[in-house]
Amino acid sequence: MNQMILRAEGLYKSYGSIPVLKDVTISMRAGETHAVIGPNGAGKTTLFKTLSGEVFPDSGWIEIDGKRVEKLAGHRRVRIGVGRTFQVARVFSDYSVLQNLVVAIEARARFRKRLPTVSFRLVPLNSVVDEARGLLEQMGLGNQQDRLAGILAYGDRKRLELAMSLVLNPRILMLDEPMAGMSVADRSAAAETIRRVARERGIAVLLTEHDMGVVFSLANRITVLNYGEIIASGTPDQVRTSAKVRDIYLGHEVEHA
Amino acid sequence: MKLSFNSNWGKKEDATTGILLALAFASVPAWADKGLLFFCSVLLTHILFALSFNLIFGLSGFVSFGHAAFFAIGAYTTGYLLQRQGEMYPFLFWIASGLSGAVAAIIVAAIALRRSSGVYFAILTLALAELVHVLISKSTFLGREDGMTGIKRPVMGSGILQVDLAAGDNLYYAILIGAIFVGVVIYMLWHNAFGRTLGAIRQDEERVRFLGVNVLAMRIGVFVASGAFAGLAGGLYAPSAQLLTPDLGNWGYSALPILFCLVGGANYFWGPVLGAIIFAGLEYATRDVIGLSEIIVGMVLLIVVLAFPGGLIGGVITFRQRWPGRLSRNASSASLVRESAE
Repeated sequence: MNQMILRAEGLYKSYGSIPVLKDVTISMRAGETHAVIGPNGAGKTTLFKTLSGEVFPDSGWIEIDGKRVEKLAGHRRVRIGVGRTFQVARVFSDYSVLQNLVVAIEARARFRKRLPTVSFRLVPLNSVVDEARGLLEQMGLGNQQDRLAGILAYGDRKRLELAMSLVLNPRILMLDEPMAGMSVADRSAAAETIRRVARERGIAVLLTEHDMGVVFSLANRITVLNYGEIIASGTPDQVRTSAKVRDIYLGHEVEHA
Repeated sequence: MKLSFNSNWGKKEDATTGILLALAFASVPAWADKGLLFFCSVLLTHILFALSFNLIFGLSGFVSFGHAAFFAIGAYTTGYLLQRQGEMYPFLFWIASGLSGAVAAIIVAAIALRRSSGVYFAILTLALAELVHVLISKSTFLGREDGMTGIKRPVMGSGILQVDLAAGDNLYYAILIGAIFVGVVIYMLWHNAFGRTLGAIRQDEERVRFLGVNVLAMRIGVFVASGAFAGLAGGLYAPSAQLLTPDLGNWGYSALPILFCLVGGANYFWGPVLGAIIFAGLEYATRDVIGLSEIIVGMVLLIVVLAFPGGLIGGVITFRQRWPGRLSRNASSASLVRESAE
């Protein structure tokens, strides 16, 4: 397919004496959607945090776009192309939808040195506001841009959060349970959005999700974690037919999903 | 309240409020006696002190319990320079005050802000401010517990353009001009992209971090700016008071800006301004009633905080939204960002 965007090898992480990640290796190409699944406590979130820079691995290395990043702080990884959304959508509740995006665009402009750190402009640049409006239209939030983000419906808040990550032009987008807390109708709309984003922008999407329907319809590759170890990794078909995966994970999850 | 982002709505109100306030303060020498004039010059420095504090408290969402340390350091810096030197290059002593406040803030940030946040940070600032307080009261060259006296009111400028701050109301006007200048700078910081990002950090720092922002650097930046402005406020205070006591760095003095912000409304640029004016008004009105002053001030604070959790400005805005048209649209002048946040 395309070139390798993310490579991580031999990641170990433990909290105190409890090992959470054991020799985890993962890689992603542009345009690929990669799902990490596993039972609760399997280490999915820790893997996410290790890749995004919220925690540092005890050993192993991570490469993004050929740059070693395992010791780089989270905000620095964002600057070289890691976008992230959270399990519970995080937006700025006291700001309007438009202001949320303006803050994100201004952050990007600042780390790209297109905007001075301190300026004496009291209102955002027109170009910034126009870009924000345009993206809100694209994301179907155009008619809500003056509403407070805190009173948006949950699905819309998730979309706003995704939009805020997208304005940073990420190479990799990490979505932590993008469907959590959504209605069924919202889920299919969100899945469509994610598919479109990955295709149109050539972004590598890494996601965790409990809804197996979503996982198998979205992902090109699936990695299964159990007790911090990768027990299977491959195409959805390979994973679906893996006896090991069926044994410890998929069997009962699929029934309950 | 629906507002379009790029309209100047709110900014115009703010400009009007600012100009009216400046004119009101400028008119004081025309009608007030010496005592009231001194009172107003102290009020101006308190307004600046509270505005500088609210950059971190209301805008950025973290608290320092020791902000008086910066005010005291600024005051003693200018005091020390003016004790020795009656004539100085224009503004040099005030610039020195701002710088000393900034340097002190850098030290506090390096010690406390890097490793703590929330209430732990607040307690650390309290401890560090108490250290400043003790150092001042043990330092002979700063006058120890007795305070620093003999602070001259300088002649500012050189050549033809000389202003003798000891003469007439010149010092008051100099303080007013300084306060307006710093107030405008703080207003800009509150409303530009830097301020917007700080407001976002207050709401969700993790989200801001994942917008590629170095949150710690932003916090240190605003803390140092706040320390510099508090130092400058102290510097303006020194030649006016002419007596500086270590109490300026005490925790009781650190509580003042917090109270001003809570009463006026910490979420609004004008909140601390209103709070400081109300407190000064109460203090002045009850100045002859020995012992009763604290009780009245305390009662007012209690009532305001219980009745208006968003301060007086927050209360007015809520009132206006619930019963539109009852109050004139110019009744309050909250900033655009905060206004739409309600």
